[in-house]
Amino acid sequence: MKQLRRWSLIAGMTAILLLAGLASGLFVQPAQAQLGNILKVGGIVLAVSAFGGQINDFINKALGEREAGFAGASKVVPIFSVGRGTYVGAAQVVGLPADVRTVQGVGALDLRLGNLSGTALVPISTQRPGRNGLSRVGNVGISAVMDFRI
Amino acid sequence: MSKLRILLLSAGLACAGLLVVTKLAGQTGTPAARATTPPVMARVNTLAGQEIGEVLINNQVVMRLHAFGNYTPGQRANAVAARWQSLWQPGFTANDVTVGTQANDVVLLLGNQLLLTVEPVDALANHSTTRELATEWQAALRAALGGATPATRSAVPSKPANGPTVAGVADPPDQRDRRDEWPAWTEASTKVVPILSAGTPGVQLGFAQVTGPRGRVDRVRSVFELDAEFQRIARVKIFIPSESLTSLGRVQGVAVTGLLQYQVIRF
Repeated sequence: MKQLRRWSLIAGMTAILLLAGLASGLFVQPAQAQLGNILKVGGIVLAVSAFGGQINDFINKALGEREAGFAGASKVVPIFSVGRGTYVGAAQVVGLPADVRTVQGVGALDLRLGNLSGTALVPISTQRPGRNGLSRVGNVGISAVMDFRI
Repeated sequence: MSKLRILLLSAGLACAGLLVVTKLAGQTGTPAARATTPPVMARVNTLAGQEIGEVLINNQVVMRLHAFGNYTPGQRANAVAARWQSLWQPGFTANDVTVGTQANDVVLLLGNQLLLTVEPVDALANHSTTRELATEWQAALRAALGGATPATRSAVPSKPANGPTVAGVADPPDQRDRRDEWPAWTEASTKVVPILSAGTPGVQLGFAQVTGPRGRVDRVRSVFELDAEFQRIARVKIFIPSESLTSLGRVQGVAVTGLLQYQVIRF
């Protein structure tokens, strides 16, 4: 009898949760979109991390940056851009080899005011901004960017 | 009489025990491993006025290391020699020295253990990529261990005429001629120059801050930007620092850190 009551309670709770889930379709959709964005960001960052070397070689050949390639002075890392929309993609960083080695990502701030626009490109030494704070890497700049809106 | 026998037997057993203990002590721990480890040595040398750290195996220079980060060439050479001593196992051959990749860095492995990471600073001194340098060092190590070497490489350490290089490596002719053109990637500088941006959003004019080796930054007079946007979904931006205000004379090794632009034409 006690067990039957417990099963009834579980069945009732499940039914309520299912109905609530169906009724809140509007809220479920943004959650799905959010999940899609998370997957998109994760996929891009993973692809850039995995194929960064090949992308870097390709860009060096295409842009004639042979010297930088030889010297280990270029690298492809994920870029996170905010301001005029949120973008995630790949950026090639170029600079002093010892500093390039420490770069793990690029943070970009993109602002527009009428016809005037400004962009700050900040190479950072962590892939997870906010966890240990941003750590800017000096002596390194950006030579190419390809990113996608999320 | 029986007491004498017992005494002799005890003495014999004690001697045998001592012999066994001595033998076992000789077979365990690092002393035995060291006995079979190819002799390794680290030393500091000077080439073309530059201090370098050399690692020698069987009295052959197998790699030359430069200062990197907080480490002097001598410290790096000592670290490699120490790792070689600790990683070497009886039964290892020249074929156990391999080139690998760890976290996007090119590394030399002894067995399956990390011997050292090939740093860009060493590759730059050799006018090669880190992977090419790793292959050169692998060949030199294998040659020093008595293994086969690639037919195209010399196993004898080369003495550079104009600058430091790496054991067993001669510069390819096309790179030897360009030696003077290579920038000194040690001193960085920044500069603000005009930027002209053209692409699908329109034409923009403004200023860009560039950074790179001082010698190269000094040559930059402008930056050209190609800017393409695909239906507000994807963007591609390419920055080309140029030594001319009116034409594309690309300056290598220089990149952009910030922009301020005004849109003059909108598409």
